[in-house]
Amino acid sequence: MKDSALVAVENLVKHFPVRMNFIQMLFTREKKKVHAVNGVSFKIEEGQTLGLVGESGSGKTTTGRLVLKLIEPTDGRIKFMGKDITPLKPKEMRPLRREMQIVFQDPLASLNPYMKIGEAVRHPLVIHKIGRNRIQQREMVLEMLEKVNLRPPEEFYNRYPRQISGGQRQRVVIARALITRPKFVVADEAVAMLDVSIRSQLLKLMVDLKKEFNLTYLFITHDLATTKYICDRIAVMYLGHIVEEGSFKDIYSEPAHPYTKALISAVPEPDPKIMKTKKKMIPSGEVPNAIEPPPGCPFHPRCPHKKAVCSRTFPEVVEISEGHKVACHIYARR
Amino acid sequence: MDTKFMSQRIGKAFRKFFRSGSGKMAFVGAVILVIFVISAVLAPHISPYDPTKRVGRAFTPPNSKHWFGTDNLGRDMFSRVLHGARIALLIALLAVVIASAIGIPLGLLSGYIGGPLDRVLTLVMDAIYSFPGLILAIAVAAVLGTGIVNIAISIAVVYAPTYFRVIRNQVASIKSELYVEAARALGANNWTILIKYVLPNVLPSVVVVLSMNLADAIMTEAGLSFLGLGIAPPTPDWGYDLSNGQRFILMNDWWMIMFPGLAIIILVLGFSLFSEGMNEYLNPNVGQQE
Amino acid sequence: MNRERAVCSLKSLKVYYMTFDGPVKAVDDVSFDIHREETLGLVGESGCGKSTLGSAILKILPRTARIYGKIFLDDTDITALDEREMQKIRGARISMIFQDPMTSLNPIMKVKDHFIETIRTHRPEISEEEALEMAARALAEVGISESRLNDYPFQFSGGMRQRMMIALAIVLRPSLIIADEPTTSLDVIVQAQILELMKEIQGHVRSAMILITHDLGVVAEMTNRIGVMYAGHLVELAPRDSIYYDPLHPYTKALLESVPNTRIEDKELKYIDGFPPSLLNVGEGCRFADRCPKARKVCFEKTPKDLVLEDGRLVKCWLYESEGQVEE
Repeated sequence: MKDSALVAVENLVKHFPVRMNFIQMLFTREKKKVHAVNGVSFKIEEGQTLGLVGESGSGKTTTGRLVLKLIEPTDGRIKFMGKDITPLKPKEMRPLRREMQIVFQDPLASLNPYMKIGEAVRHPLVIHKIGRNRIQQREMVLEMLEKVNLRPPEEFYNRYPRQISGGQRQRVVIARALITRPKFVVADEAVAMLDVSIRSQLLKLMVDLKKEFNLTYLFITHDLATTKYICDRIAVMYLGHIVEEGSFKDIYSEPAHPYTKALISAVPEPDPKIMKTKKKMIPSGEVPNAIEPPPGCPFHPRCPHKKAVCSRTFPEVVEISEGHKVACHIYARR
Repeated sequence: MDTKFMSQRIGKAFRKFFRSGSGKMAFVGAVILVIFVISAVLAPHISPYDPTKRVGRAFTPPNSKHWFGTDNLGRDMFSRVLHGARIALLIALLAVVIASAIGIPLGLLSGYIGGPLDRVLTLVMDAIYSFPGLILAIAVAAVLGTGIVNIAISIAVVYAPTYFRVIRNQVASIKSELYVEAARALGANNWTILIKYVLPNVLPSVVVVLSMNLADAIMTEAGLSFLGLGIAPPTPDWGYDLSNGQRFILMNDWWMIMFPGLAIIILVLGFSLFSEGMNEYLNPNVGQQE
Repeated sequence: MNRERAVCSLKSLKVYYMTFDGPVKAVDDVSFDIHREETLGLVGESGCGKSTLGSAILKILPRTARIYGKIFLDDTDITALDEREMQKIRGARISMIFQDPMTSLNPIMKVKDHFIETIRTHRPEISEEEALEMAARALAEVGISESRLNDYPFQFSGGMRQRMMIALAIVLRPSLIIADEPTTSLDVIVQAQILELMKEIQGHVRSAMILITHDLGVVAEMTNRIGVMYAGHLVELAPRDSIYYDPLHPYTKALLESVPNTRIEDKELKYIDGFPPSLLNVGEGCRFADRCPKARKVCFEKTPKDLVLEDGRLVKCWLYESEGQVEE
């Protein structure tokens, strides 16, 4: 059967070595590792958006970078447009980068301070040799700047990143990512640093651009509420695992995993009545460090429903309703 | 915000520049440097006498004919100091060009590629760096012999590691900047990233090191000449004149060492003020309160 | 409304940052009172002046800032006090909880030394042992065990560090606590824990609190009254529920609509076009006017006055000119 998914990852694992000093190296036998991503699998159909939600340290950002092979996975497979890209070398990845792009959280840091905005957006065209000449490329850049609502584009072309506002910078980054007309875009907390009113503008822009260019997004965020407007499906991550996956409605109105429940109950709603009536299930403590993650289900030390089995084995993924998957022993098939 | 005219923008830049002490420092430094450069360039035209010929009585103290007096061979000190600026600046510039031509590319590669290459290069450069500068220059100069290019090379050997270290460390930190990762995600190859993303971001610090090194190079050159390892004698040179003059210090002929000495001090001061001021001006983290 | 004397009251407070190109009017003509046991939320986007306002009350602004107007703490006008007298007030009568505790704590001082220093600076008559006891009690209030007094701040996790910061802020029972984005750098679950704790603490410390945040969700749970700031102006000040269910100022309305919510039925995301004005040399006129759907000619020409409506709400908008009284 042919896989229709644009992006598919299977059992993705990434461990980072922990830096040790000389003395530590003398006394430790085994090398310590940060278990950033611990066997993550998901598929994104063409034209769909998957939201990857989690707190800091959940491995969501690492997953985003792995999918684009900006870092090498320790284990697992990544398929892009039906092709296994896991064994490709960085050099072989380069032509593919035209099809897959990333937008980072901090727009100022992701723009070269010494490169004018127009040049920054034009650069991907130079890299991938798109457009006949400078003049034509310039035309394409101006058109793209216009599309991300940087008007008049001629005026923005010759400015430096420091001379424009945060929201405008993120528009530049989006323009740069989309100028090669990629199929797939990873948005890594792309709107998190922006103010509320600007954030909504950008979200709206991303939704519009998705329709216009038939984009597929991996939308990484810590903010569950923003996923509603842009994501078709949502995956919740905790300590390097996807613990639950489903539509926004599944996740929000019928959360299954105890962690998802906790997360939702902790989201501050801009509505005092909801806040008063909302049941709070805030687990105590904080996310354990990923160097020595708890055995079994990673959430078990904080889980109100934990059973003996939870500390022994990682639960199987169970589909509790159509498209709603959860990894929790409570739902294990008997 | 909407400054349309170039003059207006320049004016604004100047105002900002002068607001801070660093701006004044750099300005004073720049004025000194400009005076020295002009006198070096125009030395053949403005110096009153031929600096290598006997033009008056030996050991004449400063007077209206010989502003800085004459030396033991009756040569005009003022003319010698003017021409000396030529030699000093020429050698210093040449040395810095050679040093940066070696240090900058190696630093870029070492910092960007990392790994074993980085470790070996760093080790070699640190070994050279840890050598006392003047002694190393003397050793190299002794092997190469005198002459403008040879002196420049021996000074360059001392300063190449400075460039290497500055560039390497900068590159190593810039390499992990988000915009470099973004460039990689765009599909740029290493060469493009190095030239278009890394290099422009290290250049400001190169400018600072450059002018700082020029100051050091002038002192080292004077030191070498003082020790007789510099330019062959009749050519006017501050270091040589200093060593020549100090032989007669007991005769109270102070002008023979004071004027070349002052020239060295003021020029070095000019470079230091300029580079220190520029350092603060170019460093975006200092002085911005927006 | 609370009729008793205000703990702290601002009377047309202005904070201008003097720059080479002219004054940046970060806080412009803000007046409000805050009472005992009350939590006042100050919300706004970055650059609206909310943090500057908080720092102005403590007088911990950079040297380029100038304060005009008056800030009364009980009955003293603290704008007139010098640095020595302010030091006596900071930490004792007004204390502050910052966004990032790590930068406001000395990394080479143990937790107990932070407490001893704070306590003994203000109350030198207290012995070290007594101070330690007070510290232990304050830590117990925030759910940290006494044994951690001997640790250094970096040995705490983000949430624990913020707890410790809160303990330090309440140890001398100040009459006013200013919390500047206290949970912004924390993850949602830890944020919920800290907010819960802050509510509890305020319940028994009974001080007044100003909670500064950009997050309309955070203030929804925590506050009695909410002030909305925009570009240096306090555009609306009202009881919490009025802000959420009956906002008056067009900016408050637009802001509430543009916050992503989790109600499944509304899929349409509203947003405010444009962006806030530069506060450098800003002149007359409502600062929201060029983004406001209801802007009229007068909005661009004259700054609206602070209007007090019949129910005591404050709004700074020409739309309500006929309904309200000009304050003072």
